Amino acid sequence: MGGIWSYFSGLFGTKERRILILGLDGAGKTTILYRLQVGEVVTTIPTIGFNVETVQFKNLKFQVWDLGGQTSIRPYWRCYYSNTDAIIYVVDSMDRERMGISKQELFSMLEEDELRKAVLVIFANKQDIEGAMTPSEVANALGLTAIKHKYQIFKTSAIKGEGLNEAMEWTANTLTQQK
Amino acid sequence: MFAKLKKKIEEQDGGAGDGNRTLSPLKGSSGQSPSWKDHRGYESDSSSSALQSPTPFGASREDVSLVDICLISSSRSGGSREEVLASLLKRTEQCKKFEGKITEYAAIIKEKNKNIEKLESSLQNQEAGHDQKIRELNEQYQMNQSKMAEGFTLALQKKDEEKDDLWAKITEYEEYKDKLYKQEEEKEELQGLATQELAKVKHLLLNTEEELRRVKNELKETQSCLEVAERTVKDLENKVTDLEEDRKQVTVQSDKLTEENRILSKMISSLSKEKEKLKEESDLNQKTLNEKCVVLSTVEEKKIDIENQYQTLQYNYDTHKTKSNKLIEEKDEHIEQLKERIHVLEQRFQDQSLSGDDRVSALESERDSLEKKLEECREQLSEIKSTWSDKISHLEEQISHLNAKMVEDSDELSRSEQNAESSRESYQSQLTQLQTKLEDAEQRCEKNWDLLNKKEKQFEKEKHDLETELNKEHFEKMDLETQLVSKITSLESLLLSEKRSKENEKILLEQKIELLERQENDYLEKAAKLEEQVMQLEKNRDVLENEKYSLSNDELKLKKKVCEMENTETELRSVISDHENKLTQSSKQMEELEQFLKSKESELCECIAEKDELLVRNAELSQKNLSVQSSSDSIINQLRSEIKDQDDQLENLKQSHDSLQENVNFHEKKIKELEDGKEENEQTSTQVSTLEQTVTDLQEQLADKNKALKKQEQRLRDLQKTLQRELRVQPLPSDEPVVIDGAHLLRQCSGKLDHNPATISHVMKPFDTNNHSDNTLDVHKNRTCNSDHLLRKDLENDVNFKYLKHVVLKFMLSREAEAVHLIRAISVLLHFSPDEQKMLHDTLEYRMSWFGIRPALGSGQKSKYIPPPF
Repeated sequence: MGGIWSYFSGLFGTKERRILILGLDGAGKTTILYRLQVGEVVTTIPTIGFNVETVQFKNLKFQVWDLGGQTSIRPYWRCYYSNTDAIIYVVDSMDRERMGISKQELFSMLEEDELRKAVLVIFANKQDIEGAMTPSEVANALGLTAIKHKYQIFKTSAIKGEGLNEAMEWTANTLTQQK
Repeated sequence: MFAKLKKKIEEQDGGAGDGNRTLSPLKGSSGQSPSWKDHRGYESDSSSSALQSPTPFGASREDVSLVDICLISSSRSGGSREEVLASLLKRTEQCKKFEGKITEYAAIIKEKNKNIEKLESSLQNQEAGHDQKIRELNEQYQMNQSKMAEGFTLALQKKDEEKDDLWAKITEYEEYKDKLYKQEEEKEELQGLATQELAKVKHLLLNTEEELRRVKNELKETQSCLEVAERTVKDLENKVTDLEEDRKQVTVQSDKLTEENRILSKMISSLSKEKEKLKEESDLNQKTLNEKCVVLSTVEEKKIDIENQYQTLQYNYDTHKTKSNKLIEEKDEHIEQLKERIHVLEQRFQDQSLSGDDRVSALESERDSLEKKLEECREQLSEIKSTWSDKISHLEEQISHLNAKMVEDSDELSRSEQNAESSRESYQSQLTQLQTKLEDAEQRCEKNWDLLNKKEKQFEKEKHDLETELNKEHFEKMDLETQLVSKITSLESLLLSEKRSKENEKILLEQKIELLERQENDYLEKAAKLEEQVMQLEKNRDVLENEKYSLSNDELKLKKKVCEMENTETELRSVISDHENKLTQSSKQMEELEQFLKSKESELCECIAEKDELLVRNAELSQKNLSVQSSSDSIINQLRSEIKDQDDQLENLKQSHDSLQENVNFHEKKIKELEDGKEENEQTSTQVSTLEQTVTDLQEQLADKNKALKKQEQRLRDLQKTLQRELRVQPLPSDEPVVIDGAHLLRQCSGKLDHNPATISHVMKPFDTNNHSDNTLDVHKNRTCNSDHLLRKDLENDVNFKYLKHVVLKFMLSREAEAVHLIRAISVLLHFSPDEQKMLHDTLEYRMSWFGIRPALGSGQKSKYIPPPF
């Protein structure tokens, strides 16, 4: 049945775009995923493994993969890189201490050959909290100027749902322009 | 009983709940979220394995169990009360056991509390003892310090006073010393001045003495000069004698030279004659040479002409010969040709008479002969040509030979000419040499002539001189003769007068003959005697005359000598005058020197006077010096005595200083001792600190123990809770909750595409609950299988295991299209080989495809899949 359904969906529907949501543990990846999918704030537990949801946005279907960001399971990210169209890299704007680790992970990820054509969207998350780093500060901390990929940074708040639509709009536009 | 128990349990539960609330205020704050249950579940998951928390049962579970109990109580109330009672009794026993355990625990806690109190009291005691010790040590230390400080301050004050006194004394001594130094300096200055003046006087004296010496030396030098001059005079006189001898020698030499001159003149004349002869001969030779040369040249010219003529004649002869030969040959040939022609014509003539064929044959033969002749002629021609060419070559060779000969002849000619020229040149050179020789001879002759003339002139001059001298000597002789004659005449006149006197006397005598016969005789005798005397006188006169001659000669000689002497005298006079001049000069110099000496003497006198004055001054100064010295000695003595006093004082002070130093050493020793005490104090303080550290460690241990106690209390409470729950759950059969859970699981699985994240936890939970139910049922079993359980717990707590589980579940539960994305993750997690990975991928593709063929996955024991039944 599934095969038939997928076949039909492949025939009649537009092709699904594969998006990965990555980032350190506790950055708010799962919250963002379900905020995008359901439009509500859902209580989450630390993801040991991954969550996959299909998100419809402006006639575009995204298969969004939210991969767990704990230190011991970060090495498994690379198992999901193939056929990825876009990467949403979520950064905790309050976590100034681990910004260096975040930068390291981002750069090691971008070195992968499978992500050569992927679009990079960076979410400076948790902007609702006072004293959070501004997007420019986050960009400086991550050293985004050295990146060769096509990227854009957005300030987001998964709890309040701010900035997510703009970011998704930008990714949709860039992905449609690419094809 | 039952009610009481229930109440008790409720009370305990309430207490526990209160405790729980008080213990976890943080949990309460976190539990404000909307999904409180889920959160609690998560917490239970994340909690440590060591604590077997009862929370996994959850509120829902509790509710269920309560409901179940109620149901059981309601349904089985009428059934078997005895069983219930028995179970109750069992429970009460269990409760009692637990209570006993609790009391034991309480006793243990009390004991521990007692121990703690004991330890605290002992600690307090120790602290008090240490404090006291520390205080005592501090007091002692302060006392010692104060004592030491007082002693040191006193000693320091004393020493400062002594120091001040000593400084004052030292300043006084320094003043004294300065005065002494000043006096000594003055003394030294005076002495220096005196010595300087003495040195000056001495210097002047030395200068004057040196000048005196110089003057004396100069005098000596002048005297020596005078002596030298005298010696020179003597030498000159000697030289005069030598010169006279030399003159004699020169005269002898002049004689010799005149003789030589004569010989040379003779030689010259002979040489001049020879020269003339040679000249004449040379002229003749030259003339003959010239003539011969001319003749030679004419002869050569003639010879050349004749040779040329001869050659031309020969050549003409040869040409005529050849021409004649040629003509003869040509004639011969012409004759032969004519003969042949005649012969041919004759044959032709003969042939004409013959018939046709014969004629033809004849003609043919003729032609043949003619051809032969032609060939012969050609051969001859070629021969002739060859001969001609040979001849031409011969001629050319001859020409070349002739040319070569010509060249050789010309060379020979040139050589002969060159020889002639060289011979001429040699002759000419010989001539020139002869001429030069002649010229040299003439020059020599001229020179000899000149020498001769010169010598003759010299001789003539010398002769003239000698003649003049001779004349002079003659004149002188004449004068001398005249003088001698006059003398003789005077003597004769005297004689005559004497004769007259004699005659007079004779007359007188004649008159007095008689008288004087005797006398006459006597006189005769006397006369004879006188005659004899006269004779003698005459002899004497002759002798004298001879002597006169000799004397005249001597005189002449002497005169010459005199003249020479006069000359020499004049010279000597001039020399003497020069010497006199020198003498005068030297005398002037002497005078000047004397004057200078006088001046110097006067200066000396002055100097001596000054010296006397200076000596006087010196004496005065020495007196002053003595006085000053005496005064200074006295002062020095005074100062020495003072210094001695001061030394004594210094010694005293040193002694006092030594004593003070001893004091200081003593005090230092004391300080060292005190420092040792300090160190001991420090050691004690370190001991105190270590004790304090031990105290703190003990306190920490106490705190840890307190914490452990609290934890144990918590555990006890948890145990109580679990007991309560189990008491509630106990009546239910063990399988029921599992069945319920399994149903729950099935329910959850049926709603599989429910994308709530809670599902994940729900999926995992049933196993946990199952385990827990097992735990509750078989406590003994649980204990035996505790190690396995712990292992499994560890595995389940491992994030990688959780991840694997999660991914595998998702892979199994999701569609093939989504599962494809997970192949890689699973293969990485389970270390699949690339083949295995490919197999997975292929099977998924096959399932997704409509008409796919199952990929080969092996068969038999090695098959990777369960083969379908048909």
